[in-house]
Amino acid sequence: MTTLNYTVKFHKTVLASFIGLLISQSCLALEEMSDEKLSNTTGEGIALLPQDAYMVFRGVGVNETATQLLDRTKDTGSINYIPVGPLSLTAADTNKNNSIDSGDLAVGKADLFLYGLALSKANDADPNDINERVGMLKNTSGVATAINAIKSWGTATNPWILKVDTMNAVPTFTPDIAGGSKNTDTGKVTYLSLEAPAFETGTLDAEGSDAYKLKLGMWADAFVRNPNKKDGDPNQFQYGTSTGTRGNGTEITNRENRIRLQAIWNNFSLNGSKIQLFQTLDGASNTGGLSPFYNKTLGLAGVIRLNSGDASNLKLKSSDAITENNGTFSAWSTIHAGANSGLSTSSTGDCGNAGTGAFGTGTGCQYIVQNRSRTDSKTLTRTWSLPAEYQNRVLRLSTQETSDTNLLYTPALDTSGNAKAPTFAKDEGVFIYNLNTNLVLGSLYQPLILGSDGKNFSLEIARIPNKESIYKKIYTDYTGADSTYLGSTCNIYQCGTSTISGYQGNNATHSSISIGTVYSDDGGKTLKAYMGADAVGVSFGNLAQSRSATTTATGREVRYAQRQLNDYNWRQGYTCTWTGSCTTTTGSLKQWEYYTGTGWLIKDPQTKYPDTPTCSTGFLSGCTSPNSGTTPLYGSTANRTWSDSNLNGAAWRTVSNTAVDNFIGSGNGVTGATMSNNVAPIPTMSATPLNNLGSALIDGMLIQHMKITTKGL
Amino acid sequence: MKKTVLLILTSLVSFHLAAMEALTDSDLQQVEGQAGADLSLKLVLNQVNASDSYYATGNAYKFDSDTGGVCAKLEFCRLALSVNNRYVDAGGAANSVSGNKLWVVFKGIQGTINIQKLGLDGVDLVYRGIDAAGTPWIKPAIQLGFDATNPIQIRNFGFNALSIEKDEFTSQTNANGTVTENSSGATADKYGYLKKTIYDATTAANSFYDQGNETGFMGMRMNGNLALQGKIMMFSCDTSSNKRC
Repeated sequence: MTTLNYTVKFHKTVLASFIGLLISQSCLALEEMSDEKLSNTTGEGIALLPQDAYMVFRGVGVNETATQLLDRTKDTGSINYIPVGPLSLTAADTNKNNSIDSGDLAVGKADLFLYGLALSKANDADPNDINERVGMLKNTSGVATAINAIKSWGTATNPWILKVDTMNAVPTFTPDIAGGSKNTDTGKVTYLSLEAPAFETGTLDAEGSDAYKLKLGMWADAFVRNPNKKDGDPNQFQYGTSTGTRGNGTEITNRENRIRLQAIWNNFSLNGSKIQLFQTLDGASNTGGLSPFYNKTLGLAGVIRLNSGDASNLKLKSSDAITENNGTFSAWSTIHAGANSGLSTSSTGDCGNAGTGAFGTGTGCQYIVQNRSRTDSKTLTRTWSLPAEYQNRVLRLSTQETSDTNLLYTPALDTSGNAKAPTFAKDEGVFIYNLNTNLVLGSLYQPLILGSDGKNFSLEIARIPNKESIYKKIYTDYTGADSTYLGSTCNIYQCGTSTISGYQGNNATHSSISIGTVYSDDGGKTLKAYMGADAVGVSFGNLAQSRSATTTATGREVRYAQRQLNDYNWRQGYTCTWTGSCTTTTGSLKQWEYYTGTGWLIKDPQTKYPDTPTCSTGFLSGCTSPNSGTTPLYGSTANRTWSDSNLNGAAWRTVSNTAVDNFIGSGNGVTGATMSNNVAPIPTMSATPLNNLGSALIDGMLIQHMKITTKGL
Repeated sequence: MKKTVLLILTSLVSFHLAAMEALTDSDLQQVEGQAGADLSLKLVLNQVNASDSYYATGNAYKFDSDTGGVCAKLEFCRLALSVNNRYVDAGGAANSVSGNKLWVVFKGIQGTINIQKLGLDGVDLVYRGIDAAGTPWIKPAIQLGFDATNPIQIRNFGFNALSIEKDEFTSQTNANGTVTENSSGATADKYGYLKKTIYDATTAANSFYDQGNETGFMGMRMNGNLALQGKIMMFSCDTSSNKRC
C-alpha cells in the first residue's frame, strides 16, 4: 500500500504575502533583464541556512516534551544494516580444507545497529562534554537544562549553497600523443553542486561560529548472526561454541557476540566542503591505463573537509606536585661493640677489655658505634592538561559500558517498550585529538564514477590521464619554480585559491589528514607534525590525567663513643757505661682515656712510677741507677671495660670522623650526617602520559587512481 | 478555500510573469510576514498500515508481502536506479556505449515516514552586502521549521536487499544521447530490476538465515523518532548578491 497524506493548516495567514515572497525568490534584483542577459546567466542557486538546529534519533514512541528529550537513555532510534547473502567459502572455510565443516571456526555475518545519531553543538563549558553524544547546556549543578543547538550553521552572507553551474574548457580524457602533439580537446561540464559554508580566514564571523563547533554522536551494537537461525529466532545471535565448531548443534547461551561502540566527534566543522554531480566527458579508451567506462556517465567530485581547527598551539601542559613523607627513626642499634679490632657486635674480642695485661689498641678497640635508620618516601604527582580551547576537540571511540546490560541485548529488538541506551565510561576509548581531515575526492577533470561487472559494485576515482592540460592542473611543483602546475594541498590553512576575500578556496587537488599537534612553517603549503614530548594526538584514554610515582629511601645516622690510648712514661732505668754513654729505659703505663664530650678522661687511672735518678760514672767505671718499677704497665679492668650501655665515662659523639667511617663502611652510614630533610630522591617520570601516542600526519596525498570493488557477490 | 488559494496563486504567478516591475528592497520590507502554514505529511510505502493510532507502537508497520498484499510479488516492490551509460559486455567487461544495462536495485523497499509538523513561513534575513562596506540589507526567505517535540516518525523504513542487476538484453546509447533497448520479445523478468532471485537451500546451503530472502548484499531498516529542531532558511542566491553562487 502506498499512501500519501498531507494536510496543510493555514493559520489566519497572509498567504498572499508568503507566496509573494516565495515567488520573488529568484528575481529579487528585479531589474529589467534582456533575453541576451538571461542567456548568459550561468550560476544560480538556492542558499540554505539552518538555524537553532539540532537532531537526535530517538526511540520509537509517543511525542516527547523538551525535558524528556534531555534523557539520553532514550536515544534508541536505530538504523539497522542487515546482512544479506551467505558467507563466501573463503570467509567461512577457516581451516582451509576447501569445505565448510565442523572443523571450521564459527564465523558469521554481522547485524549492525546504529543508534541515536545526533548532530548538535559541542559545549566546552561542560566538563563531561567528551562523553555526551548530544551537546547539553547545564546549570551550575551539572544538570542538563537544554540541548545545545547550532545557532547558525553559516550565515546569510556565507550560507549553504545548492547551485547549478557550468565549467567551460574542461579537458576530455583523450590523452596526449606519446612523443607527439598535445591533445587539447575540451568540453563543457555542467554540474550540480552542494556547498557547505566557505571556510573563513582570519577572525571568524561570530554569527556563524557555531559551524566550527559541531558535535556528532552515535552509538552502535553489532552482533555476529547465527546463519543457522532465521531472523527473529530467540537464539539468532548465539553462535559458536567454546570449542570453536561451527555451531550446528547446541549454542552456548550469552556468548559474547556483541560489540558496543560509542562515537563522539566534538568541535568540528564541515565548512569548505562541497560535492559536485555532473556528466563526465569522453575520450577514454582501453589505453594508457584508462577505461572507456569513464565516458559520459555520472561523475562525482567532492572536497570533504572535516576540521577541528588550527593545532599549532596544541601542547600538553604539565604541572608537578611533590609530597614528602618522613618516616620515624628506628632505635639505636649497635653495629660495633668496641671489644674487637675488627667490626663486631660481640662484647668480647682481641681488645682485651676484661683483662689486665697487654691489650689491643686497633681502631676497633677505640670506638663503640651505633646507627639508626629512617625510611622516607617522596611522591611526585604530575598532572597533564590541555589548553582550554583544545580539550574538547576530540573524536572519541569507546566501548566500555558502565550500565551493564545483558550481553545479547539491544534496544531495537526490545519489545517491552522500555528500551534503553547504555551509559558509557567517561575516559575510556581511543581519543583522536584535533583531527583535521581534508579529502579531495576527484575533480571535474578526474571524476569519481560508479561501476560494476554486473554483480559487484565499484567506486573508482578515474586515473589521471597522461594529458598535460589535466595533470598540470593536478600535480604540484612544491618548489614553486614552475607555476604552470596548479595543484596544491587542502589543509586547515588553505584549500586552493579563493577569488573571494575572507574565505579559503575549495579547489585544491591533494588531501591531508592530520591528528593532533601539527603546524606549517611555509605559510600553509605543507604541514609538519610536532615531535616534542608535549605533542598531542592519538591516545588511549583521556590525556587530561594525573599520574603519581613514589620513591623510598632509607637514611642512617651514626653515633659513636670514643677512647684513645694514653701512654704515661717515666724514667724507669738508667745505665751509663765507662765511656760515659748513658741509656735511659722509658717506663710505659698504657691506659684508655675516654672522650666525655668536653675532654679526655682516664677512668680508674693508675699511678706511674717516679723517674729513677740519673747516676754519674767514675773513672773507667759505669753506673746503673736502680729500676723504678716495672714496665710496661697496663690500665686496670675498670679502665678498659666499656659497652654500649656503659660507656665508662665516654659520651656519644656524632661529629664527622673519617676513621669511624672507614671502619664501619658506608653501608652502615656516615658519621656527621644528620637527617633533617627527606632523603628519598625525586621520582623520575615520563614527560608525557604513557598512553599518549603523539601526533600524526598525512600530507600532500594525491589519489592518482583508486578503485574500490566488492568481491564475491 | 482551495479555490481561493488557487486564485490567489494564479494571480500572483501571472503578475510575476507578465508584469515584471521592479520590486525594491524597501517594498519587500513592507511585506509583513505573519504566521505561515503548518504542513504534515505521512508516507506509507508498501506496508500494512494496520494501526493508525498515533504510531505509538512499532509493530504495525509490516512489509505487505503476504498473499493478496501489494508486495505479494516481491519484484514489484523495488526502487531501481540506472546511472547513465553503465553497461557490461557479454564477457563482463565494462562498457559505456552498449551492452547489458546495469541497475542498482533496492529490493523490498518499504517504510512509513510521518512528518508531523513542518512549519512554513516567510521571514526577513539580514544580509551583509558584497560591497566593500558590507552594507546590510534585508532579504526575504522561506523558513522551514521543525520542532523536536513533534518528531518525524520513521517506521521500518528501508529495504531488504541492495543488489546490482543487469538486463538480459542489450541496450545502446546513440550518438544523440538517447538509449535504444534491444528488448524485442523480452519478458518482464529480463529487465534487471524485475528479476526475482531468492536464496534457497542450494544457493545458500550454509545460511539457513538467508533462505527464502531476495538476493543482494545489504539491507537497511530505520526505526525511531527523528527529533529535528530548528529552522532552515531558503533564499535565492545569485552572483550579484553572493560571489559563491
